[in-house]
Amino acid sequence: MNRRLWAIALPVLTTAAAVALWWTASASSTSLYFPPLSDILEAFRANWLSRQLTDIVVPSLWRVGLGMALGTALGVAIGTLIGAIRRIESYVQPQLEFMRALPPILVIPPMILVLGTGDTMKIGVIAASALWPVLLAAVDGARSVEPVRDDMARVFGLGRWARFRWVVLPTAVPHIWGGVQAAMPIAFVVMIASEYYSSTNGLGYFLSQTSTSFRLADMWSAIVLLGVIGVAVNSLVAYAGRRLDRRFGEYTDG
Amino acid sequence: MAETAPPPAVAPAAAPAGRTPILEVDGLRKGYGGDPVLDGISLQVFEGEFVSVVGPSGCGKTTMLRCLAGLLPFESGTVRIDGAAVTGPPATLGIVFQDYSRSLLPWLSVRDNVRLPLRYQAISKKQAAAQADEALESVGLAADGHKRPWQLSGGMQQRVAIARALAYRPRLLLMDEPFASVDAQTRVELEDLMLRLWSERAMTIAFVTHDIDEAIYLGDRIVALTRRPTGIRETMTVDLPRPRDQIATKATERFAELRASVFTALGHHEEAAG
Repeated sequence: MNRRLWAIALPVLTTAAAVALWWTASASSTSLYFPPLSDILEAFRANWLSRQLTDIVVPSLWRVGLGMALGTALGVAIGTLIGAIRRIESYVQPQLEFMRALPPILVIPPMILVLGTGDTMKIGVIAASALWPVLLAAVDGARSVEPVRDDMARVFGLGRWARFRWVVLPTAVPHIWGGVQAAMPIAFVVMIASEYYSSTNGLGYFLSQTSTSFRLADMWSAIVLLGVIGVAVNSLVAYAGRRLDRRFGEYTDG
Repeated sequence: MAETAPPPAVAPAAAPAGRTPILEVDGLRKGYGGDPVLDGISLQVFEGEFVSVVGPSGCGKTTMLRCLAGLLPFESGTVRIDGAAVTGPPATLGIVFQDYSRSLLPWLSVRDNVRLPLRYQAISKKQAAAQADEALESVGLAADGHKRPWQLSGGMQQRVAIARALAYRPRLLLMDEPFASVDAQTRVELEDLMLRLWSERAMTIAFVTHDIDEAIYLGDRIVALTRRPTGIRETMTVDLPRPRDQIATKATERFAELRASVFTALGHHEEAAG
Protein backbone atom coordinates (compact mmCIF):
# COMPACT_ATOMS: atom_id res chain seq x y z
CA MET A 1 0.00 0.00 0.00
CA ASN A 2 2.76 2.36 1.05
CA ARG A 3 4.63 1.36 -2.05
CA ARG A 4 1.74 2.25 -4.31
CA LEU A 5 1.32 5.60 -2.65
CA TRP A 6 5.01 6.22 -3.12
CA ALA A 7 4.76 5.23 -6.79
CA ILE A 8 2.17 7.96 -7.30
CA ALA A 9 3.84 10.54 -5.04
CA LEU A 10 7.33 10.25 -6.51
CA PRO A 11 6.63 11.56 -10.05
CA VAL A 12 4.44 14.30 -8.60
CA LEU A 13 7.23 15.38 -6.27
CA THR A 14 9.95 15.33 -8.92
CA THR A 15 7.72 17.28 -11.30
CA ALA A 16 7.07 19.86 -8.59
CA ALA A 17 10.79 20.08 -7.92
CA ALA A 18 11.54 20.59 -11.62
CA VAL A 19 8.92 23.30 -11.91
CA ALA A 20 10.22 24.99 -8.75
CA LEU A 21 13.75 24.87 -10.13
CA TRP A 22 12.63 26.38 -13.42
CA TRP A 23 10.62 29.00 -11.56
CA THR A 24 13.44 30.16 -9.31
CA ALA A 25 16.15 29.94 -11.95
CA SER A 26 14.14 31.99 -14.45
CA ALA A 27 12.48 34.34 -11.94
CA SER A 28 14.94 37.19 -12.41
CA SER A 29 15.64 36.41 -16.07
CA THR A 30 15.83 39.39 -18.37
CA SER A 31 16.75 37.27 -21.38
CA LEU A 32 14.46 37.76 -24.33
CA TYR A 33 14.72 34.09 -25.20
CA PHE A 34 14.16 32.65 -21.75
CA PRO A 35 11.43 34.66 -20.06
CA PRO A 36 10.56 33.96 -16.40
CA LEU A 37 8.29 30.97 -15.88
CA SER A 38 5.74 33.27 -14.31
CA ASP A 39 5.46 35.12 -17.64
CA ILE A 40 5.14 31.85 -19.52
CA LEU A 41 2.38 30.65 -17.20
CA GLU A 42 0.60 33.96 -17.55
CA ALA A 43 0.80 33.56 -21.34
CA PHE A 44 -0.35 29.96 -20.96
CA ARG A 45 -3.40 31.11 -19.01
CA ALA A 46 -4.20 33.81 -21.52
CA ASN A 47 -3.67 31.62 -24.58
CA TRP A 48 -4.85 28.21 -23.57
CA LEU A 49 -7.35 28.66 -20.75
CA SER A 50 -9.52 30.58 -23.16
CA ARG A 51 -11.54 30.00 -26.31
CA GLN A 52 -8.36 30.27 -28.31
CA LEU A 53 -7.51 26.75 -27.13
CA THR A 54 -10.11 25.17 -29.38
CA ASP A 55 -9.45 27.60 -32.26
CA ILE A 56 -5.78 26.71 -32.38
CA VAL A 57 -5.48 23.22 -30.95
CA VAL A 58 -8.47 21.54 -32.58
CA PRO A 59 -7.24 21.97 -36.18
CA SER A 60 -3.87 20.52 -35.18
CA LEU A 61 -5.32 17.54 -33.33
CA TRP A 62 -7.77 16.97 -36.15
CA ARG A 63 -4.90 16.75 -38.64
CA VAL A 64 -2.92 14.40 -36.41
CA GLY A 65 -5.97 12.23 -35.81
CA LEU A 66 -6.98 11.97 -39.44
CA GLY A 67 -3.41 11.51 -40.64
CA MET A 68 -2.77 8.78 -38.05
CA ALA A 69 -6.03 7.04 -38.93
CA LEU A 70 -5.20 7.10 -42.62
CA GLY A 71 -1.59 6.02 -42.16
CA THR A 72 -2.60 3.26 -39.74
CA ALA A 73 -5.34 1.93 -42.02
CA LEU A 74 -2.99 1.81 -44.98
CA GLY A 75 -0.15 0.40 -42.91
CA VAL A 76 -2.34 -2.37 -41.49
CA ALA A 77 -3.81 -3.27 -44.87
CA ILE A 78 -0.50 -3.41 -46.71
CA GLY A 79 1.55 -4.72 -43.79
CA THR A 80 -0.69 -7.66 -42.88
CA LEU A 81 -0.92 -8.56 -46.55
CA ILE A 82 2.86 -8.61 -46.91
CA GLY A 83 3.26 -10.51 -43.64
CA ALA A 84 0.59 -13.06 -44.53
CA ILE A 85 1.98 -13.77 -47.98
CA ARG A 86 5.52 -14.77 -47.11
CA ARG A 87 6.60 -15.10 -50.70
CA ILE A 88 6.37 -11.38 -51.42
CA GLU A 89 7.98 -10.34 -48.16
CA SER A 90 11.61 -10.85 -49.13
CA TYR A 91 11.06 -8.84 -52.31
CA VAL A 92 9.67 -5.76 -50.63
CA GLN A 93 11.67 -5.78 -47.39
CA PRO A 94 14.59 -3.64 -48.73
CA GLN A 95 12.21 -1.03 -50.12
CA LEU A 96 10.33 -0.90 -46.81
CA GLU A 97 13.55 -0.42 -44.88
CA PHE A 98 14.55 2.34 -47.29
CA MET A 99 11.24 4.15 -46.88
CA ARG A 100 11.38 3.83 -43.11
CA ALA A 101 14.89 5.26 -43.01
CA LEU A 102 13.78 8.50 -44.68
CA PRO A 103 13.17 11.33 -42.19
CA PRO A 104 9.41 11.95 -42.30
CA ILE A 105 9.65 15.74 -42.65
CA LEU A 106 11.63 15.20 -45.83
CA VAL A 107 8.37 14.45 -47.61
CA ILE A 108 6.90 17.87 -46.86
CA PRO A 109 8.46 19.85 -49.75
CA PRO A 110 7.54 17.31 -52.46
CA MET A 111 4.10 16.87 -50.90
CA ILE A 112 3.53 20.63 -51.09
CA LEU A 113 4.25 20.42 -54.80
CA VAL A 114 1.84 17.54 -55.29
CA LEU A 115 -0.93 18.31 -52.80
CA GLY A 116 -0.63 22.08 -52.39
CA THR A 117 -0.40 23.80 -49.02
CA GLY A 118 -3.86 22.99 -47.65
CA ASP A 119 -5.11 20.43 -45.18
CA THR A 120 -4.78 17.63 -47.73
CA MET A 121 -1.02 18.12 -47.76
CA LYS A 122 -0.72 18.25 -43.97
CA ILE A 123 -2.89 15.19 -43.40
CA GLY A 124 -1.11 13.43 -46.24
CA VAL A 125 2.32 14.12 -44.76
CA ILE A 126 1.24 12.96 -41.31
CA ALA A 127 -0.29 9.81 -42.84
CA ALA A 128 2.89 9.16 -44.82
CA SER A 129 5.02 9.48 -41.70
CA ALA A 130 2.74 7.23 -39.62
CA LEU A 131 2.51 4.64 -42.38
CA TRP A 132 5.98 3.11 -42.07
CA PRO A 133 6.21 2.27 -38.38
CA VAL A 134 2.69 0.81 -38.51
CA LEU A 135 3.30 -1.05 -41.75
CA LEU A 136 6.51 -2.67 -40.53
CA ALA A 137 4.90 -3.61 -37.22
CA ALA A 138 1.96 -5.13 -39.10
CA VAL A 139 4.32 -7.21 -41.27
CA ASP A 140 5.97 -8.46 -38.08
CA GLY A 141 2.64 -9.17 -36.44
CA ALA A 142 1.17 -11.06 -39.35
CA ARG A 143 4.34 -13.11 -39.59
CA SER A 144 4.18 -14.15 -35.96
CA VAL A 145 1.11 -16.38 -36.32
CA GLU A 146 1.69 -19.70 -34.54
CA PRO A 147 2.15 -22.43 -37.15
CA VAL A 148 -0.18 -24.75 -35.21
CA ARG A 149 -2.85 -22.09 -35.28
CA ASP A 150 -2.59 -21.79 -39.02
CA ASP A 151 -2.79 -25.60 -39.34
CA MET A 152 -5.85 -25.60 -37.11
CA ALA A 153 -7.60 -22.95 -39.16
CA ARG A 154 -6.89 -24.76 -42.43
CA VAL A 155 -8.03 -28.15 -41.12
CA PHE A 156 -11.25 -26.68 -39.81
CA GLY A 157 -12.15 -25.30 -43.19
CA LEU A 158 -11.33 -21.60 -42.75
CA GLY A 159 -10.56 -20.03 -46.11
CA ARG A 160 -7.98 -17.34 -46.78
CA TRP A 161 -10.17 -14.47 -45.71
CA ALA A 162 -11.47 -16.28 -42.60
CA ARG A 163 -7.92 -17.12 -41.54
CA PHE A 164 -6.97 -13.49 -42.01
CA ARG A 165 -9.98 -12.27 -40.05
CA TRP A 166 -9.78 -14.71 -37.13
CA VAL A 167 -6.12 -15.64 -36.89
CA VAL A 168 -3.74 -13.24 -38.68
CA LEU A 169 -5.34 -9.93 -37.77
CA PRO A 170 -5.89 -10.63 -34.04
CA THR A 171 -2.31 -11.91 -33.77
CA ALA A 172 -1.05 -8.72 -35.38
CA VAL A 173 -3.09 -6.29 -33.24
CA PRO A 174 -0.64 -5.88 -30.32
CA HIS A 175 2.24 -5.50 -32.79
CA ILE A 176 0.29 -2.96 -34.83
CA TRP A 177 -0.45 -0.96 -31.72
CA GLY A 178 3.26 -0.93 -30.96
CA GLY A 179 3.66 0.66 -34.39
CA VAL A 180 0.97 3.22 -33.62
CA GLN A 181 2.71 4.03 -30.36
CA ALA A 182 5.97 4.63 -32.25
CA ALA A 183 4.22 6.64 -34.98
CA MET A 184 2.36 9.02 -32.65
CA PRO A 185 5.28 11.28 -31.63
CA ILE A 186 6.45 11.34 -35.25
CA ALA A 187 2.98 12.42 -36.33
CA PHE A 188 3.13 15.32 -33.85
CA VAL A 189 6.52 16.43 -35.12
CA VAL A 190 5.32 16.31 -38.70
CA MET A 191 2.10 18.12 -37.81
CA ILE A 192 4.02 20.99 -36.22
CA ALA A 193 6.51 21.11 -39.10
CA SER A 194 3.86 21.08 -41.81
CA GLU A 195 1.90 23.82 -40.07
CA TYR A 196 5.09 25.77 -39.57
CA TYR A 197 5.78 25.67 -43.31
CA SER A 198 2.39 26.86 -44.41
CA SER A 199 -0.78 27.31 -42.49
CA THR A 200 -3.29 29.78 -41.24
CA ASN A 201 -4.12 27.97 -38.04
CA GLY A 202 -2.91 25.25 -35.70
CA LEU A 203 -0.14 24.96 -33.12
CA GLY A 204 2.65 24.97 -35.68
CA TYR A 205 1.31 28.17 -37.14
CA PHE A 206 1.06 29.68 -33.67
CA LEU A 207 4.67 28.70 -32.96
CA SER A 208 5.91 30.23 -36.21
CA GLN A 209 3.92 33.44 -35.64
CA THR A 210 5.01 33.95 -32.05
CA SER A 211 8.67 33.05 -32.58
CA THR A 212 9.11 35.25 -35.65
CA SER A 213 7.44 38.20 -33.90
CA PHE A 214 9.43 37.65 -30.70
CA ARG A 215 6.39 36.90 -28.54
CA LEU A 216 8.54 34.37 -26.77
CA ALA A 217 6.45 33.91 -23.63
CA ASP A 218 3.59 32.95 -25.94
CA MET A 219 5.87 30.65 -27.88
CA TRP A 220 7.04 28.97 -24.68
CA SER A 221 3.45 28.59 -23.52
CA ALA A 222 2.70 26.69 -26.75
CA ILE A 223 5.68 24.44 -26.14
CA VAL A 224 4.45 23.69 -22.62
CA LEU A 225 1.00 22.95 -24.04
CA LEU A 226 2.49 20.61 -26.64
CA GLY A 227 4.32 18.77 -23.89
CA VAL A 228 1.12 18.39 -21.90
CA ILE A 229 -0.82 17.18 -24.95
CA GLY A 230 2.03 14.81 -25.83
CA VAL A 231 2.07 13.24 -22.39
CA ALA A 232 -1.71 12.90 -22.40
CA VAL A 233 -1.87 11.33 -25.87
CA ASN A 234 1.03 8.97 -25.20
CA SER A 235 -0.51 7.79 -21.93
CA LEU A 236 -3.81 7.24 -23.69
CA VAL A 237 -2.15 5.23 -26.45
CA ALA A 238 -0.19 3.21 -23.89
CA TYR A 239 -3.35 2.54 -21.90
CA ALA A 240 -5.19 1.39 -25.03
CA GLY A 241 -2.17 -0.81 -25.78
CA ARG A 242 -2.47 -2.54 -22.43
CA ARG A 243 -6.17 -3.12 -23.05
CA LEU A 244 -5.45 -4.57 -26.50
CA ASP A 245 -2.76 -6.80 -25.01
CA ARG A 246 -5.29 -8.20 -22.59
CA ARG A 247 -7.74 -8.76 -25.41
CA PHE A 248 -5.40 -10.23 -28.02
CA GLY A 249 -2.23 -11.25 -26.18
CA GLU A 250 -1.11 -14.80 -25.49
CA TYR A 251 -1.70 -16.26 -22.11
CA THR A 252 -0.39 -19.53 -20.77
CA ASP A 253 -2.22 -21.52 -18.15
CA GLY A 254 -2.24 -20.30 -14.61
CA MET B 1 12.53 -61.56 -14.58
CA ALA B 2 15.29 -60.51 -16.93
CA GLU B 3 15.50 -64.02 -18.37
CA THR B 4 11.89 -64.33 -19.47
CA ALA B 5 11.15 -65.69 -22.90
CA PRO B 6 10.40 -63.23 -25.67
CA PRO B 7 6.87 -61.94 -25.28
CA PRO B 8 4.19 -63.95 -27.05
CA ALA B 9 3.60 -62.89 -30.59
CA VAL B 10 0.54 -60.85 -31.26
CA ALA B 11 -1.43 -61.67 -34.36
CA PRO B 12 -0.77 -59.15 -37.12
CA ALA B 13 -3.96 -57.27 -37.62
CA ALA B 14 -5.91 -58.24 -40.68
CA ALA B 15 -8.24 -55.86 -42.38
CA PRO B 16 -11.59 -56.16 -40.59
CA ALA B 17 -13.74 -57.83 -43.21
CA GLY B 18 -16.59 -55.94 -44.79
CA ARG B 19 -15.67 -52.62 -43.24
CA THR B 20 -15.19 -49.40 -45.14
CA PRO B 21 -11.78 -47.85 -44.98
CA ILE B 22 -11.92 -44.17 -43.99
CA LEU B 23 -8.22 -43.49 -44.20
CA GLU B 24 -6.01 -45.26 -46.73
CA VAL B 25 -2.33 -44.43 -46.86
CA ASP B 26 -0.19 -46.09 -49.48
CA GLY B 27 3.56 -45.69 -49.83
CA LEU B 28 3.68 -42.22 -48.28
CA ARG B 29 7.13 -40.68 -48.60
CA LYS B 30 8.30 -37.30 -47.37
CA GLY B 31 11.67 -35.75 -46.77
CA TYR B 32 13.19 -32.40 -45.99
CA GLY B 33 15.98 -31.43 -48.36
CA GLY B 34 17.04 -34.96 -49.24
CA ASP B 35 16.77 -36.15 -45.64
CA PRO B 36 13.98 -38.72 -45.63
CA VAL B 37 11.49 -38.43 -42.77
CA LEU B 38 8.67 -40.71 -43.88
CA ASP B 39 9.82 -43.79 -45.72
CA GLY B 40 6.91 -45.47 -47.44
CA ILE B 41 4.11 -45.51 -44.89
CA SER B 42 1.08 -47.64 -45.70
CA LEU B 43 -1.83 -48.06 -43.34
CA GLN B 44 -5.58 -48.19 -43.25
CA VAL B 45 -8.10 -47.02 -40.72
CA PHE B 46 -11.61 -48.44 -40.97
CA GLU B 47 -14.90 -46.87 -40.14
CA GLY B 48 -15.62 -46.81 -36.44
CA GLU B 49 -12.10 -47.89 -35.51
CA PHE B 50 -9.86 -46.44 -32.81
CA VAL B 51 -6.33 -46.84 -34.11
CA SER B 52 -3.34 -45.90 -31.99
CA VAL B 53 -0.21 -44.88 -33.84
CA VAL B 54 2.75 -45.22 -31.53
CA GLY B 55 6.35 -44.34 -32.19
CA PRO B 56 9.46 -43.06 -30.45
CA SER B 57 9.82 -39.34 -29.83
CA GLY B 58 11.04 -37.37 -32.80
CA CYS B 59 10.20 -40.14 -35.25
CA GLY B 60 8.21 -37.93 -37.57
CA LYS B 61 4.74 -38.58 -36.18
CA THR B 62 3.71 -34.98 -36.57
CA THR B 63 5.10 -34.83 -40.11
CA MET B 64 3.06 -37.92 -40.94
CA LEU B 65 -0.06 -36.45 -39.44
CA ARG B 66 0.36 -33.19 -41.32
CA CYS B 67 0.70 -35.16 -44.55
CA LEU B 68 -2.43 -37.15 -43.77
CA ALA B 69 -4.34 -33.96 -43.01
CA GLY B 70 -3.38 -32.39 -46.31
CA LEU B 71 -1.37 -29.69 -44.54
CA LEU B 72 1.97 -30.78 -45.93
CA PRO B 73 2.69 -31.88 -49.50
CA PHE B 74 4.53 -35.19 -49.81
CA GLU B 75 6.83 -36.60 -52.48
CA SER B 76 5.15 -39.83 -53.35
CA GLY B 77 2.42 -42.21 -52.30
CA THR B 78 -1.26 -41.59 -51.86
CA VAL B 79 -3.48 -40.59 -48.97
CA ARG B 80 -7.20 -41.15 -49.33
CA ILE B 81 -9.81 -40.03 -46.88
CA ASP B 82 -13.27 -41.38 -47.53
CA GLY B 83 -12.06 -42.55 -50.92
CA ALA B 84 -10.94 -39.12 -52.09
CA ALA B 85 -7.25 -38.39 -52.62
CA VAL B 86 -5.99 -35.79 -50.16
CA THR B 87 -4.52 -32.68 -51.74
CA GLY B 88 -5.58 -30.15 -49.11
CA PRO B 89 -7.32 -30.44 -45.74
CA PRO B 90 -10.47 -32.53 -46.35
CA ALA B 91 -13.76 -31.22 -45.02
CA THR B 92 -14.44 -34.53 -43.28
CA LEU B 93 -11.36 -34.33 -41.08
CA GLY B 94 -10.94 -32.91 -37.59
CA ILE B 95 -7.75 -32.61 -35.55
CA VAL B 96 -6.87 -32.25 -31.90
CA PHE B 97 -3.34 -30.91 -31.56
CA GLN B 98 -0.95 -31.49 -28.69
CA ASP B 99 -0.43 -27.81 -28.04
CA TYR B 100 -3.88 -26.79 -26.90
CA SER B 101 -2.93 -23.28 -25.83
CA ARG B 102 -1.64 -22.52 -29.31
CA SER B 103 -4.35 -24.34 -31.23
CA LEU B 104 -7.09 -22.40 -29.41
CA LEU B 105 -7.60 -18.71 -30.14
CA PRO B 106 -7.02 -16.71 -26.94
CA TRP B 107 -9.03 -13.74 -28.26
CA LEU B 108 -12.22 -15.78 -28.54
CA SER B 109 -14.35 -17.22 -25.77
CA VAL B 110 -14.47 -20.97 -25.34
CA ARG B 111 -17.85 -21.09 -27.07
CA ASP B 112 -16.68 -18.95 -29.99
CA ASN B 113 -13.62 -21.15 -30.38
CA VAL B 114 -15.88 -24.16 -30.76
CA ARG B 115 -18.25 -22.32 -33.08
CA LEU B 116 -15.61 -20.81 -35.34
CA PRO B 117 -15.25 -23.76 -37.77
CA LEU B 118 -19.04 -24.03 -37.98
CA ARG B 119 -19.38 -20.48 -39.29
CA TYR B 120 -17.93 -21.65 -42.57
CA GLN B 121 -20.13 -24.68 -42.95
CA ALA B 122 -23.43 -24.80 -44.75
CA ILE B 123 -25.46 -24.92 -41.56
CA SER B 124 -27.71 -22.36 -39.92
CA LYS B 125 -26.51 -20.21 -37.03
CA LYS B 126 -28.99 -21.95 -34.77
CA GLN B 127 -27.78 -25.36 -35.79
CA ALA B 128 -24.16 -24.26 -35.29
CA ALA B 129 -24.92 -22.95 -31.82
CA ALA B 130 -26.70 -26.19 -30.94
CA GLN B 131 -23.81 -28.32 -32.19
CA ALA B 132 -21.27 -26.23 -30.28
CA ASP B 133 -23.26 -26.29 -27.04
CA GLU B 134 -23.83 -30.01 -27.32
CA ALA B 135 -20.11 -30.61 -27.87
CA LEU B 136 -19.16 -28.43 -24.90
CA GLU B 137 -21.69 -30.25 -22.76
CA SER B 138 -20.31 -33.64 -23.78
CA VAL B 139 -16.81 -32.70 -22.61
CA GLY B 140 -18.17 -31.27 -19.36
CA LEU B 141 -17.68 -27.60 -20.12
CA ALA B 142 -21.29 -26.50 -20.57
CA ALA B 143 -20.85 -23.84 -17.87
CA ASP B 144 -17.54 -22.45 -19.16
CA GLY B 145 -18.51 -21.28 -22.63
CA HIS B 146 -18.17 -17.60 -21.78
CA LYS B 147 -14.63 -17.93 -20.43
CA ARG B 148 -11.46 -17.37 -22.39
CA PRO B 149 -9.31 -20.47 -22.96
CA TRP B 150 -6.45 -19.15 -20.82
CA GLN B 151 -8.74 -18.92 -17.83
CA LEU B 152 -9.02 -22.72 -17.89
CA SER B 153 -6.56 -25.39 -16.79
CA GLY B 154 -4.53 -27.27 -19.39
CA GLY B 155 -6.78 -30.30 -19.28
CA MET B 156 -9.87 -28.14 -19.69
CA GLN B 157 -8.29 -26.32 -22.61
CA GLN B 158 -7.70 -29.63 -24.31
CA ARG B 159 -11.36 -30.47 -23.66
CA VAL B 160 -12.25 -27.29 -25.53
CA ALA B 161 -10.10 -28.42 -28.45
CA ILE B 162 -11.85 -31.81 -28.34
CA ALA B 163 -15.25 -30.11 -28.26
CA ARG B 164 -14.27 -28.00 -31.27
CA ALA B 165 -13.41 -31.15 -33.20
CA LEU B 166 -16.63 -32.90 -32.10
CA ALA B 167 -18.85 -29.97 -33.04
CA TYR B 168 -17.27 -30.04 -36.49
CA ARG B 169 -18.58 -33.62 -36.84
CA PRO B 170 -15.65 -35.07 -38.74
CA ARG B 171 -15.70 -38.53 -40.30
CA LEU B 172 -12.14 -39.01 -39.13
CA LEU B 173 -10.59 -37.48 -36.05
CA LEU B 174 -6.81 -37.22 -35.92
CA MET B 175 -5.27 -36.67 -32.51
CA ASP B 176 -1.61 -35.62 -32.34
CA GLU B 177 -0.23 -36.59 -28.90
CA PRO B 178 -3.18 -34.75 -27.41
CA PHE B 179 -2.46 -35.61 -23.79
CA ALA B 180 1.32 -35.32 -23.80
CA SER B 181 1.32 -31.93 -22.07
CA VAL B 182 -1.12 -32.56 -19.23
CA ASP B 183 -0.47 -34.07 -15.82
CA ALA B 184 -0.97 -37.79 -15.18
CA GLN B 185 -4.32 -37.50 -13.40
CA THR B 186 -5.78 -35.27 -16.09
CA ARG B 187 -4.42 -37.56 -18.74
CA VAL B 188 -6.30 -40.53 -17.29
CA GLU B 189 -9.51 -38.50 -17.22
CA LEU B 190 -9.07 -37.36 -20.80
CA GLU B 191 -8.35 -40.90 -22.00
CA ASP B 192 -11.59 -42.11 -20.48
CA LEU B 193 -13.41 -39.10 -21.89
CA MET B 194 -12.18 -40.01 -25.37
CA LEU B 195 -13.27 -43.62 -24.96
CA ARG B 196 -16.72 -42.50 -23.87
CA LEU B 197 -17.09 -40.00 -26.72
CA TRP B 198 -15.82 -42.55 -29.22
CA SER B 199 -18.33 -45.19 -28.14
CA GLU B 200 -21.22 -42.73 -27.95
CA ARG B 201 -20.59 -41.22 -31.36
CA ALA B 202 -19.27 -44.13 -33.38
CA MET B 203 -16.36 -41.99 -34.50
CA THR B 204 -13.24 -43.08 -36.32
CA ILE B 205 -10.11 -41.99 -34.51
CA ALA B 206 -6.44 -42.11 -35.38
CA PHE B 207 -4.60 -41.36 -32.16
CA VAL B 208 -0.89 -40.59 -32.31
CA THR B 209 1.06 -41.03 -29.09
CA HIS B 210 4.48 -41.97 -27.80
CA ASP B 211 2.95 -43.54 -24.70
CA ILE B 212 2.65 -47.30 -25.14
CA ASP B 213 0.18 -47.84 -22.27
CA GLU B 214 -2.04 -45.13 -23.63
CA ALA B 215 -1.90 -46.62 -27.12
CA ILE B 216 -2.95 -50.06 -25.86
CA TYR B 217 -5.55 -48.79 -23.42
CA LEU B 218 -7.36 -46.77 -26.07
CA GLY B 219 -6.90 -48.60 -29.35
CA ASP B 220 -8.52 -51.38 -31.33
CA ARG B 221 -5.30 -51.68 -33.24
CA ILE B 222 -1.80 -50.40 -32.77
CA VAL B 223 0.42 -49.20 -35.55
CA ALA B 224 4.02 -49.19 -34.35
CA LEU B 225 6.38 -46.87 -36.18
CA THR B 226 10.13 -47.17 -36.62
CA ARG B 227 12.69 -44.48 -35.92
CA ARG B 228 13.57 -42.04 -38.68
CA PRO B 229 13.19 -42.45 -41.54
CA THR B 230 9.81 -43.49 -40.31
CA GLY B 231 8.12 -46.59 -41.60
CA ILE B 232 5.65 -49.02 -40.12
CA ARG B 233 7.27 -51.62 -37.93
CA GLU B 234 4.24 -53.65 -37.08
CA THR B 235 0.47 -53.53 -36.80
CA MET B 236 -1.28 -55.43 -34.02
CA THR B 237 -4.77 -56.00 -32.84
CA VAL B 238 -5.62 -55.06 -29.28
CA ASP B 239 -7.92 -57.86 -28.22
CA LEU B 240 -8.82 -56.39 -24.86
CA PRO B 241 -12.54 -56.33 -24.09
CA ARG B 242 -14.43 -53.07 -23.94
CA PRO B 243 -15.50 -51.11 -21.98
CA ARG B 244 -11.99 -50.69 -20.67
CA ASP B 245 -11.06 -49.67 -17.19
CA GLN B 246 -7.94 -47.81 -16.10
CA ILE B 247 -7.29 -50.26 -13.27
CA ALA B 248 -8.86 -53.55 -14.29
CA THR B 249 -7.79 -53.47 -17.94
CA LYS B 250 -4.26 -52.43 -17.18
CA ALA B 251 -3.99 -55.18 -14.54
CA THR B 252 -4.75 -57.99 -16.98
CA GLU B 253 -2.09 -60.36 -18.18
CA ARG B 254 -3.06 -59.64 -21.75
CA PHE B 255 -2.33 -55.94 -21.27
CA ALA B 256 1.14 -56.80 -20.03
CA GLU B 257 1.72 -59.10 -23.01
CA LEU B 258 0.61 -56.44 -25.43
CA ARG B 259 2.81 -53.88 -23.77
CA ALA B 260 5.80 -56.20 -24.08
CA SER B 261 5.01 -56.77 -27.75
CA VAL B 262 4.78 -53.09 -28.49
CA PHE B 263 7.96 -52.40 -26.54
CA THR B 264 9.70 -55.05 -28.61
CA ALA B 265 8.29 -53.72 -31.83
CA LEU B 266 9.60 -50.27 -31.00
CA GLY B 267 13.05 -51.69 -30.32
CA HIS B 268 12.85 -51.23 -26.57
CA HIS B 269 13.25 -54.90 -25.76
CA GLU B 270 16.14 -54.33 -23.37
CA GLU B 271 14.26 -51.77 -21.37
CA ALA B 272 11.11 -53.87 -21.38
CA ALA B 273 12.91 -56.89 -19.99
CA GLY B 274 15.23 -55.07 -17.64
